Amino acid sequence: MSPHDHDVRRAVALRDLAERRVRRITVAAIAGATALTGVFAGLAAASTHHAKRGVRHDSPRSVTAPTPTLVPNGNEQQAAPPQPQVQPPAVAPPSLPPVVSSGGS
Amino acid sequence: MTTAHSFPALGTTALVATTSSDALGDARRILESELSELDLACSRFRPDSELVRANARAGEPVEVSALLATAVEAALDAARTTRGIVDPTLGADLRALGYDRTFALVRTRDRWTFEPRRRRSAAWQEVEVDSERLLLRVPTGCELDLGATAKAFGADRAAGRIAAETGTGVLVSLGGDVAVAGAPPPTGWSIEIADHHAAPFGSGPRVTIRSGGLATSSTTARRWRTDRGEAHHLLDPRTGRPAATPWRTVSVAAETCLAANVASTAAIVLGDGAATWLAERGLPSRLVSEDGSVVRVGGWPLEAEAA
Repeated sequence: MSPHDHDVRRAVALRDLAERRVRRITVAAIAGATALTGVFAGLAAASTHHAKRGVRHDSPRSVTAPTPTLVPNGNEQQAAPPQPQVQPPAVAPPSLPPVVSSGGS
Repeated sequence: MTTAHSFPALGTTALVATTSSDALGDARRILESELSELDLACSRFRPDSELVRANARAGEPVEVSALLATAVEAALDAARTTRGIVDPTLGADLRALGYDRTFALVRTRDRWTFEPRRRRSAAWQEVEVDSERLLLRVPTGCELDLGATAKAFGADRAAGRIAAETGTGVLVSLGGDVAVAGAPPPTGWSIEIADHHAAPFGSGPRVTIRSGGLATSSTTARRWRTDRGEAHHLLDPRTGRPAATPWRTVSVAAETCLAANVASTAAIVLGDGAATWLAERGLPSRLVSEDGSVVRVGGWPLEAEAA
């Protein structure tokens, strides 16, 4: 065997070794990607299923009017309903006797 | 020149005044007729009243008159607009507190042993009224009490009917809940503001109104003794007990006497938040605190205090 033949055989061996490494890495990558796809698909499925179940369970309750809570003292967040403009009372002239008293009864 | 006539009714004082003296007789007859019908429909103390019958048959639909159906609708509307602060389902709570008969009889009783009861929240939402078929269903375990709205409702109805039938300008007052209708006197209707509607003139400021209504709610009226201290008739629906409030008297002017009375009652119950609540609704109001200091909102005139 000439030195040239030896070099060729060595190069072929190195090439075959590299090919095997690439194949192993490719197989591992495909396996990992498949596993991750499964995991994410499972998570997505579970998430969708949960939401649907929630809607089904909630829908009968949504028919019933919620019990409104009373307005706590000093609650500033409650929106006031629109009111027609009310004419404020005026000061009665001193000479005008009252017709009636408005007071507690 | 206005003329007036007053007489006892609904456990308080009714008064009718007209701009035309010729119309006063008819106005009085109309008012008496209206109050007689209202009492028979809405009284919590008359055994023959429709309300007593509906309360006794709570849980089942009961045939009622158009008047009671309308009065209950007005009370439920008050509950809706105040988000339950003015609640028509406080009848059993008032009874538990000792207000179980006309107030003249409650006042003469020495003392009442108060038995607290568990209160259902927002039961007014379960009241069913069908104004077309004239059916009313009071929720099981509840008693309707229309005391917070019926007088003002009646004052509006009577004033409107008197003005329509006689063509006169009219003022109707039921225990200080005032409704006016028709053309007012040139100077407006003069009304004195007081803690109690039967107080002698001269004890409070005077204002005039030309339309709508003016109502006053006060914790100083209708007070009685229980074994747990003095009670008053303005209950807080959150507790079923007399409202603990910094205000002793609140007067409100509004488009109708009913709207004014609902707002003045709500203000007493709301307590510290009342002035803001009234101002947000643009309702001219005068609030008197327990120490006598006065808060005015919504354009209530300052100068009125000098009168």
